[in-house]
Amino acid sequence: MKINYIGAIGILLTMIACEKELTPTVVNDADQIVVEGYIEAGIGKDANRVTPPYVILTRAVPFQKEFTTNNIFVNGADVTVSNGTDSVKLTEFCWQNLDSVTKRRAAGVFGINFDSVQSNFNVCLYLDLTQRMKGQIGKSYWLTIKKDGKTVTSVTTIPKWIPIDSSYFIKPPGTNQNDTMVQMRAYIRDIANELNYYRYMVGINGEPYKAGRQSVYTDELIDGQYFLFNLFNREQASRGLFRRGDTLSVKWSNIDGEQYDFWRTLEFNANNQGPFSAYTRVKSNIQGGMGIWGGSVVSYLDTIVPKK
Amino acid sequence: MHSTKSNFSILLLWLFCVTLSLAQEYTLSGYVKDANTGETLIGTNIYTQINRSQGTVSNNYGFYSLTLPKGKYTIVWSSVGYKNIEQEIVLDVDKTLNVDLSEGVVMKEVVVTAKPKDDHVQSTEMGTVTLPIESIKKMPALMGEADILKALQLLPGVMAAGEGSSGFYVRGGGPDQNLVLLDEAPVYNPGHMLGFFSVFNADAVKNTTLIKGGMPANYGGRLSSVVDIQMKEGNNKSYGAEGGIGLIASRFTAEGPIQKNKSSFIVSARRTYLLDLVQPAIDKTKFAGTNYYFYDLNTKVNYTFSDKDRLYLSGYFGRDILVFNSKENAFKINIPYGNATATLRWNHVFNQKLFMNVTGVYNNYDFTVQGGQETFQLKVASGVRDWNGKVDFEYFPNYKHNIKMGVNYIRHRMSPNIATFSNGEGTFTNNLKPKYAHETAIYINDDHKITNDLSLSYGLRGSWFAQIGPYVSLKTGKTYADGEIVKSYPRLDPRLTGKYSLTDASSVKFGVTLTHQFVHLVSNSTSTLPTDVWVPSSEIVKPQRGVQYALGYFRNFEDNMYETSVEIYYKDLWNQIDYPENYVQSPSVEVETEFVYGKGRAYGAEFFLKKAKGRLNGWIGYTIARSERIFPTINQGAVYPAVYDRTHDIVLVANYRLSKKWDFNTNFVYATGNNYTPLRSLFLINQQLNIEYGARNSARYNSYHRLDAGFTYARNPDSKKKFTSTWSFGVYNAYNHFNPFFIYYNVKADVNTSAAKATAFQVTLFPVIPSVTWNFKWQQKPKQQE
Repeated sequence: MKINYIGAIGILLTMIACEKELTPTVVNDADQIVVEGYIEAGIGKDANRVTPPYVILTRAVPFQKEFTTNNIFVNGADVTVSNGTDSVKLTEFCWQNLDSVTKRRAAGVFGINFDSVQSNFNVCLYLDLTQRMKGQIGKSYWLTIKKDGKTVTSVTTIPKWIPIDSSYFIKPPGTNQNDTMVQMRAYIRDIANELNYYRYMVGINGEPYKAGRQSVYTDELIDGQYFLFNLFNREQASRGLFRRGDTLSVKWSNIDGEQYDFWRTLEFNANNQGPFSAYTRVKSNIQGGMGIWGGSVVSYLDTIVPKK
Repeated sequence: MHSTKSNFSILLLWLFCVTLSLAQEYTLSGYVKDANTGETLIGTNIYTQINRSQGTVSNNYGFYSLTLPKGKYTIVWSSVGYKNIEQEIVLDVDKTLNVDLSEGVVMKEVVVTAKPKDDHVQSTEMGTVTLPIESIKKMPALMGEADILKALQLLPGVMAAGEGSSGFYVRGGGPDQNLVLLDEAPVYNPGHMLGFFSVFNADAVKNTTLIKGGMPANYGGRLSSVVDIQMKEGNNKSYGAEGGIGLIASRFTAEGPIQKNKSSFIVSARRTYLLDLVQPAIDKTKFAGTNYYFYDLNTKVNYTFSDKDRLYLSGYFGRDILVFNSKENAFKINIPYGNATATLRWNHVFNQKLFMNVTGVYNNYDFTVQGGQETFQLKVASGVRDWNGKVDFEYFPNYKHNIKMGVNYIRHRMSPNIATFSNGEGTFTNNLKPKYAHETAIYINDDHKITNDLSLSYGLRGSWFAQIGPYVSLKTGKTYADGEIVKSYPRLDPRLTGKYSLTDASSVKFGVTLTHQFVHLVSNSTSTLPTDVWVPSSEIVKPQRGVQYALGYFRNFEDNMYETSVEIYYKDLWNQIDYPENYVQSPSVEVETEFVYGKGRAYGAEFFLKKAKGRLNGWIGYTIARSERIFPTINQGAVYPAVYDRTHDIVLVANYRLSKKWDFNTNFVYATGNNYTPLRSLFLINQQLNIEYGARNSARYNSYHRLDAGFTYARNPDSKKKFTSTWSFGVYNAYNHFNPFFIYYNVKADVNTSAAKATAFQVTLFPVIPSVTWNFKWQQKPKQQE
């Protein structure tokens, strides 16, 4: 739970503030390679829903330059994933080269509304087609990317499995109670005497999974507890509540500390701009570039919000 | 430590031997007071008419002692805003003379800010400024609230921490490096409302002194500056009340004798009501119950037992209260925070040459955030609590020496962000514990007039700081018992300033001061916030260290009508503290485990021209400066400008007396923009655009400039009535310049159209803001002296 108390005072101040557009100092910097790669493990029924390892390679675009998906993807890189004994080379796919059936399937993975995709849209990713490399709990996975004589590397470890234990819905607190919205609550059974990190995303009525403004949590305050917490709808207009009758799917991931730091710093920057907030630099586990190579064990909680 | 101790003893011995060699001297001593109110007068110059350097200055309690060779003298008592008293004294025995100075009718009309005579040039102090409270009250202020700390920002070398902020940076140092004292009690958070207003109610304040360089040995524990504020004692002759009604706050002060000429009291209160006024409107919204206000309460009583003994008890209590309430989703948050200080002092005059002050201070600052939604509740609390004891001696062996010595002990309890969280089924805590420390100091300082032209002020301050238990080591896991020493830091600070008079109206001054700082407040934002926590030096955090070299040329013109000075300084700073580049606050982590350490330096030149007298008076200051830091883990180890770095800073302060009834006041400020860390690039993760920042503090806001102006109107300035009132009309940012407050970036991305655009916006907080304040004063007519 995060309380933006400074924001509350900020509201009072901004009542008299005014603003204008500004051309800030140009920061010239070499374009950096941005890695977004995942390798997942799943237990039991969730094993079937594990996404094969994939990596998206892009370039950071200087702030003052135009940002379009046409100029950011890094193509033709040599991307391999190794578990120490076996290694696989990932195969590159670009959206614009796919047939329409594959496009529709891929749109789901990337959270894109297929029907509104413009003709000039493009996304490229590197995928394990061999299906040899499947994430396993407790194992480490090395990522190596070679492009134009440069090497980018990373390693990630898939942590222990701590799924959502159970969940239920209650009437939302406050006076704004209409019968259409409910608050979701869930329990987890944290493992004691070790740092555990969690991340969740929610998909509603078959829409892509969405992470909220704060998607990662740690057990530092609740170590080893059987812990009750609120699970929030990540649609901004929902105020965290879910609509009765909706079909929900919560994608719950156990991640390692490096991923926690990555998401935490990334989300901090996204959420904190203003007079009293500071900047932070995104903490990355990528050597020679930036971004994330994240191993996780995923579990899904599928449920329908009761109509009454 | 052994050699340190013996050096110290030798110094002490030497200082006392100096006094033994002189013979046939007699002492004139006593208190200097205001004739009308009985308030003691600080900083009164007492000297012989024939030789200005045969003189002394009344101390913080109005006591003076002047020892001269046997003879006949005309002694002058001279204090800011008062008529001089000159009296012929035949000094053939020790004499006690308490002097009451009357407010100078002539002086008051023309000058309030003038220092008597050529004090500016002839004192050994450098980088020291006393601002009379009356001139602070006249300055046009944001929303009409006279503000001591903002007035200090108008001096060269002192920069505002940000738009409208009472936080300040002195000569390139951080805000935690300023020691702010209210009646000897350190004030840990001198700001209300996120620092937009300082906690000092001008009606309760008597005197404010800023030391930005050449800190004498009786002060310590901070690197950059000392702001020493004394509260009024209260009129011990007649009852009075004063107050004001402004746009956002009102003030009320009452004072008077408890026992005439022996004891008095003062009570002063201030409270804001901006949101109180709109409560009825808020009540109709979904945020009913939301409110914000702050208040201050200053009280002081004193009792004079005899000419030798006097007791003072003073207290300050101030709080900010923010309540945010959203009925709609049952979300409520409560943020109370504030300072409470209590100071008990006993002045004792052992003999005409030896004055003692014993001080006990209790000091508390706490900050709490408490809130949540029904059964889900979070509470985060932090704070500082000190018990502080001091014994200070002032010894005046003869007019050539003013020796100060003393000891100080502070027991600190500093609480980190202690968080508890409950979800209706259980309560969870981060298990952080308060930290405890001893801070002790012993000092000696001699203000020594070596010849008529050369004076030196030299001193030594020895400190010993120790982190103590109960504590569990973060390094080794060892458990320390209550009071057991975890880590101690003995430190020695030599201090030296000097003055050499070139002519009657000009002098050269210099200073070398070494200082250590044992408690730290590190902010991850551009200004300090009440959420920032103080941490003591510990097994992890080393004391900060700074050395300052300063050189100045001081010259007065036209019979002290104009005072000018040029001061240059260079500071080296060690063990400076900051947060790492990818720091994000976490409720479960001790902040000091996140700290990174580096070095710093600051240098600059300050130019000052002051017109001290006349219908038009005021000053112009210009500062050119630089403040830099080097941290191995920040900016890849390269030098970067500190947040406190401002290249140029120009200040103009003017007061013009239009007529007896009308006063015109104006301030103009120009400063190089604050630096900030700019956005470097955009990148795609999780189908969203994210932002990455460039090198720390590598960009600057547009420059800051602002003109404030105000009129004060007294309907009946010569009224002999008990009740008088004045109006103040002011305008802040008169020409409505859109000064930068902060910059934010709006990144709009549409993956579907595969394009994104980022735009930067500069936000201005305060446009032109007019204000009006009505001030009143009621004074019981003093009865004729029998």
